[in-house]
Amino acid sequence: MVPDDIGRAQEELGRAIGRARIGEDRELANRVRELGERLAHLLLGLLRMTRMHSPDNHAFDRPVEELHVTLVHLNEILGAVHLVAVEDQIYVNDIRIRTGEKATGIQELGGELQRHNVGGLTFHQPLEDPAIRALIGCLGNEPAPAEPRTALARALEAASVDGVELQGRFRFRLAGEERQEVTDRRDVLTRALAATDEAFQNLAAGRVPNPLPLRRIVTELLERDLGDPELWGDLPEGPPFARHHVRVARLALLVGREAGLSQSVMQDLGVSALYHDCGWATGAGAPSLSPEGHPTAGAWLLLRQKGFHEAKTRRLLATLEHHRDANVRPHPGLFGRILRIVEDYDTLSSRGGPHSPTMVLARMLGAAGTRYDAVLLQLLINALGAYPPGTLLRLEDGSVVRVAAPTRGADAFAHPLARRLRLRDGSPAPPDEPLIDLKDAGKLTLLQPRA
Amino acid sequence: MASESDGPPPEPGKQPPSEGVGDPGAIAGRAHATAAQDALLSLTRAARSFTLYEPTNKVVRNLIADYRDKMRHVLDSHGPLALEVHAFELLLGGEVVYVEKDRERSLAFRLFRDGVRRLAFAPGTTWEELLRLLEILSIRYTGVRQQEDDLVTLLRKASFDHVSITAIEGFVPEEEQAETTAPSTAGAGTQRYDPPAEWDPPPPVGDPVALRFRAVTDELRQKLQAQEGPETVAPHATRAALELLAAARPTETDAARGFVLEVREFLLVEGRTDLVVELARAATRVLASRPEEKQALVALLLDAPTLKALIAALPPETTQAPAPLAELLAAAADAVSGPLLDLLHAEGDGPRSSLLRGLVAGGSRLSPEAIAERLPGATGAARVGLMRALAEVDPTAALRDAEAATTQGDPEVQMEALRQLQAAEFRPEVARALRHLVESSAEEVRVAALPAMARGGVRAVPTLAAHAEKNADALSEAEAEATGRALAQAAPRGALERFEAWLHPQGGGLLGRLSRGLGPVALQRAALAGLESIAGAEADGLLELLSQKGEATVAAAARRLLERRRTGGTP
Repeated sequence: MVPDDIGRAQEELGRAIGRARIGEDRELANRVRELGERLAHLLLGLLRMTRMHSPDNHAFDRPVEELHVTLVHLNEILGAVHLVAVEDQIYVNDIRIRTGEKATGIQELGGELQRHNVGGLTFHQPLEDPAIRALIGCLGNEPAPAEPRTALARALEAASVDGVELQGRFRFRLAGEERQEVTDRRDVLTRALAATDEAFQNLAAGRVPNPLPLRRIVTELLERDLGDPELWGDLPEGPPFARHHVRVARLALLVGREAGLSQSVMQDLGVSALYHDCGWATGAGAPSLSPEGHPTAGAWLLLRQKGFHEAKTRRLLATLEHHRDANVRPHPGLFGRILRIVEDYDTLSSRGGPHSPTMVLARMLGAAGTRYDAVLLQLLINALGAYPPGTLLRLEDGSVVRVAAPTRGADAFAHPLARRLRLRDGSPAPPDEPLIDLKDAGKLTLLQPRA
Repeated sequence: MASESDGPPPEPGKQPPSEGVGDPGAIAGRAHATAAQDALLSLTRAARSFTLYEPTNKVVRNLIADYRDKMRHVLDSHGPLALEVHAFELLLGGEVVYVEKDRERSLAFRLFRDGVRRLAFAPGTTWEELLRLLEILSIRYTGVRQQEDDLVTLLRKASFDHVSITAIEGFVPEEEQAETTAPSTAGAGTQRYDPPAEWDPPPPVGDPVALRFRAVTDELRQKLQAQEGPETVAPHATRAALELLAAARPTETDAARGFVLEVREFLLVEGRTDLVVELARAATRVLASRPEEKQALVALLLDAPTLKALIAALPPETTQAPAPLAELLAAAADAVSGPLLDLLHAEGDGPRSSLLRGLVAGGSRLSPEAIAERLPGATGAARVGLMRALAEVDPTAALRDAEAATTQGDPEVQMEALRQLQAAEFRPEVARALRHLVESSAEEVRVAALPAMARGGVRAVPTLAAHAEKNADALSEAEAEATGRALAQAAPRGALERFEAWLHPQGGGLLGRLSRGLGPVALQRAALAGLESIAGAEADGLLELLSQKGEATVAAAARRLLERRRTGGTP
């Protein structure tokens, strides 16, 4: 019998729920949630106790020991532990803490922190007993009248509390709300670098991959205009490895956009790009890895995440295949072929190579159809233009510019937007000068990148 | 934002009404609000239904249909539906259109908890979009927590055209009291790990080729899009699993195996049992040089639930498995024979019993002990299947079991026992077992066992005769005739003597014997049936007697038999 609309709906919903069930690592999620709840409750309990006792009182012995053990367990699973109070909610590494049917006062923890103008605590390592007592003592004290967070940080430093970072206050961000234009766009890149680095450090420390923070970053990037010049300037400071991943992700999303991939596939592509070289996260003491071995090594690291999810499968294949030539058999998947192109482009253009981005693309084009998928490479070329972002050009008037954004379409293929770096007399251009449309700039001379 | 908390308390001043959905006092009476209320209730019920019923259940079907109709009605009749989400309520233009205090049941609470603050449907909302929303909410209702996605990333993935959602995307710094000194990292403390400086050496480059904009056709784009379409997930997953399996070093075997099993689960959920078979076959090829690993993996891959799914996916009444499956099962006989036996046990005389018996029998390395340990708990067709399977692998053990099974009151099992006993040498143990069958409470068993008993020859005569005499008042026509024929087959001479005795009952005076005639009708029938195969004057004499003095139907039959003999018919 051919199923009707409703019958098909039942089938689809059944499959969707089945897929969701096999995609979870329930044990891990429950463990994090339990430990996160315990952390929040213990912290609040200890802070309340400071109203009655000094932190060196024996009454603190047991809860302090419990807090230490909780931090040890959380650190084993998560690495850095981020406790965040936002409005009346408490989150531990993005997992919201249950308040229970009856009010337990957990919301008060936010108030305790906010007295010091603190919105969250990051525990980079499990604190030992003396450090916990010192932290509780400092938090329990009256806040400084001016710049209380800074004062608290100094107090912690003076008390030799190592491994705790104080965060500023937070608010919820709603989708579609008015954004703080430039700052916010730059901010996403900063957060992308931090999340990518944290993901790498966690893998290197033997932890389970947690793709959700990276997916959120990618989702945010996708909601913005990928052609926005603010996304294509120099990345904020960060570890070179993380910068490479963020650049590769940015390029991969550009190719995906040109290919017309769906939102869902684009999310997976972005996360795959942010993980693609994770095989190098073998960790200290591991046998040295050959460049040829890191794709497979990466797949093993990604497999620490339990449960089936199509996104995980895509990441695995992308990681396994991102160094394979497009014309080998079996053919690498779409993500592997995209990453092959954009990673090589990034390696050649951004990691100190002798070629300008234009020349990198031109030389890669010679391998279209063999090393690189010809269609995907052309999509990248079409998107970046003849002068990709970062390309240095001398204008007819002698001034020097750097291309600021991907091309705006076929008509502007060779006439990108650029930021002037040097005036015709060689002096630095004013930093607030608007971008120049090179359409009417006359002859453009390609400059070699600085060594 | 991932969360699974009990959520915040209701907002001040917005305490929900006492209990339940749709408190009439709280919900406005406008037609739009009423239609919205109905639609939201239908959405809630449909989304929750998966916590109670299988997706294929008729109740689920009705609830989905109701959801479709109610949503269609509110959108078609009243235009856009824009809802504000509060902890326990949904508001339409400031009016409460949904309220539910029970957190487990509340749609509002689920949405609020997951960060959704506004949910709006445009009139053009399609059924596909409504269905996708239902899917996302159903996943949340079933309590599945995913590491990969949260509600917001799921909603973004859905790329709704007519459903808009305003949700908390995360938290961002809010420096109302900016501090001049950045908060110090009080010593990160942890050891960083960085990859080698040249983690990926630059690739070789060739001569440059002029860059030009070249339009990529829609057709080429569609081909690229299709390479990551939903139908590619299964083959991609299989490819990845097999590659990792092949590449796994001893320390990585567990991880590879785990992933293969995850892929299998996915294929089962998708109903792609054909690919499960392919995955297992390919895995055995990949591990051909590592027999121990292969064996361990196959045992895990083809576990009982998987075998059940593979068998269930075949059309009912299938008697033979498709070749790839049959080959796979035969190659994995050690691993699958037990679960197959269990399936056979559970199937009973269901439509796939024949198929399962064939598969079980096909397992050449089937362990007799594995079957034997399942026999005591088995009944009916399941027991029969196991008995046949045992006969395939250990006829001696099967015969012993058949002998024992004759004392069971289950006619189906007794018939199978009889089938096996018929093929066995007629030893005293077999005779004893057959005697149990002749005494079975089921007539069909007795009728079938009587000819088998006849194989005992003259030694069987007392048993057969006793059966007839003891039950003379209760024997059916068929059983009486079967008894007579069995006697004649076992020992014609002995049979004649018994027939003579039955037709000339001893005891009592002459008048008494005359009044009783030829004895019980059942014995007359038995004698008549036996005499059919016995020639000679003595037999003819008894037939004459029956034709003259027997019960009417017996007498008529005896006359016809005598007539046939006179006209040259053979007894």
